[in-house]
Amino acid sequence: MAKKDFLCNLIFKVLARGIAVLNKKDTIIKQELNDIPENYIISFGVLPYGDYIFLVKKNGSIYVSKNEKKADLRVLFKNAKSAKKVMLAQSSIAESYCRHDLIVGGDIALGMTLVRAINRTEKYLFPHFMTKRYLEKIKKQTCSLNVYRKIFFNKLSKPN
Amino acid sequence: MYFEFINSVKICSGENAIENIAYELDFLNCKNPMILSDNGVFKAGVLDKVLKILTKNDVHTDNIFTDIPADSSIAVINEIVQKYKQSGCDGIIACGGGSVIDTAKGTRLVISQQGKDILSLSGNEVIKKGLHIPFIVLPTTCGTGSECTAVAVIKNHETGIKMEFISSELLPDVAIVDARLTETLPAKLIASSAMDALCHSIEAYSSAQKNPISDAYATTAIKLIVENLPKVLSTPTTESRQKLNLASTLAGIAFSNAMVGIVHAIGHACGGECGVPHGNAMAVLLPECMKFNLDKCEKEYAELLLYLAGADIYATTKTTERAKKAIEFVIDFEQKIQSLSGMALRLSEYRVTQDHLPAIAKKALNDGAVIANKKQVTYEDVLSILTKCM
Repeated sequence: MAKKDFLCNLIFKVLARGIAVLNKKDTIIKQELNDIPENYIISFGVLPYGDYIFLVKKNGSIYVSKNEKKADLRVLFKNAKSAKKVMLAQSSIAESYCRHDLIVGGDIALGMTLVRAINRTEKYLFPHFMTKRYLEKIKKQTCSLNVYRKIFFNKLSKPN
Repeated sequence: MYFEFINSVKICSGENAIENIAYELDFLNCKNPMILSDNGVFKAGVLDKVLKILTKNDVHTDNIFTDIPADSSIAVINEIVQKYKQSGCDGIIACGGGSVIDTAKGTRLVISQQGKDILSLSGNEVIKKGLHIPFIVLPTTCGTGSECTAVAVIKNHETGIKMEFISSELLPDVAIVDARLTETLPAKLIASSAMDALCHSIEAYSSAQKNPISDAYATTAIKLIVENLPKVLSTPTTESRQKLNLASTLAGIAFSNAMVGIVHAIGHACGGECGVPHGNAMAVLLPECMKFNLDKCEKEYAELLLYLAGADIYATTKTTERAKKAIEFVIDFEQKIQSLSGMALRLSEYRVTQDHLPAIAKKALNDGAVIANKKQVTYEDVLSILTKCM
């Protein structure tokens, strides 16, 4: 049976938690994710394993979850190398989509919302020199250190 | 560089192309096809041309469904699937424009995936190989290119959401491109659908997903459109019609593999919010969107000048001026088409008001086409483009 890639798993966790944190700290991300319906489940993963981590919208907040029955929107990279390229800011998620590195299951319109949220989140997670090639016009609303602190120390898992 | 390219569709193009439908059906082992069309195509006598040939060749023509709405919908697809099963059909023929072809793609998908919920198949590249259902398409417009695209848009009337399906499983087996299928099209429809095809080609050539193979299709399509659209509108011949139809097919292959960009994203939103016909929206938006993308697509637009304006103008234009000249050419070309067809070139002429613009801009940003646009686009950018097109 296929195993999870350790580095991908770690990076997905940081990214998912980053989105959950910034949904509270960044008004533009909050506004973007407002379009996502309540109880909507988004997953990130790598094939052939499948879903690595889930984001769940509940009561207007975004939570991170390790296990959900079925995601409404699935973003699955075809291989771990492609996933790492995006997650380590060597490539944007849009470039990755255009290269057919990933498949998207579900409503593509909500996928676009997610792409913008990921782009904005990456601006906080990576230094400017790493993202300036593909991320334009994004102004941070809070300090990256603050975001990282909350990613690692705040409880962001889904309430029962 | 990494890219993927697929076009498995056999293209039967040119003189007597329709006559080959019987052979193609036989080759695909299809004896009892479900024939899909719409009432407009039926009343114009276009479907009759196909039916006559089928009857002459002893192909069953008992199963015809022409009640297809402008927006392909899940309800209609489910109804057709029922009829398909009840009648023991063994293949699908789609004769029509974008909605007929998308409905046929959806129908084939449901049948080939053996009853899987169509909602679970929406998205990009998530559909797995299903049963082979013979599928032949005869396009009756010269714009969508849908006969060779791996895309279908189907509306879920329960939620009001248009679902996008992107998969090579949507590609038909055969596309029959014959000038007789478009000879009853009125000038305005020819102009708007051909402008859609021009837009497919320009956006495919300048998209973030472009590749050398899609470029070849896009540039050939541009050349054919520029040379033949004015002829078809002023002094149409079978040859010019045929070339324009072929251009639409080639443009479809180009954008199916390279994607489109913000012209389509904003155009879809104009259609969704205000009912602006798709091809007309493309014509209105194309010049302003090209101006917006100019700094990121300068190289591509400069190269396109050769196919748009020809070798002489390309050679006598300074390298640094070619991209701008290409945009100027598109503007002049559209005005020429406007004078020949009466097609309006301002959004306000399609009953779009300033009050509609915020909703259009918001919707455009969530369109899948945005992702392949080389230049990142914001809500304010879209609003600014729309204002300039009013």
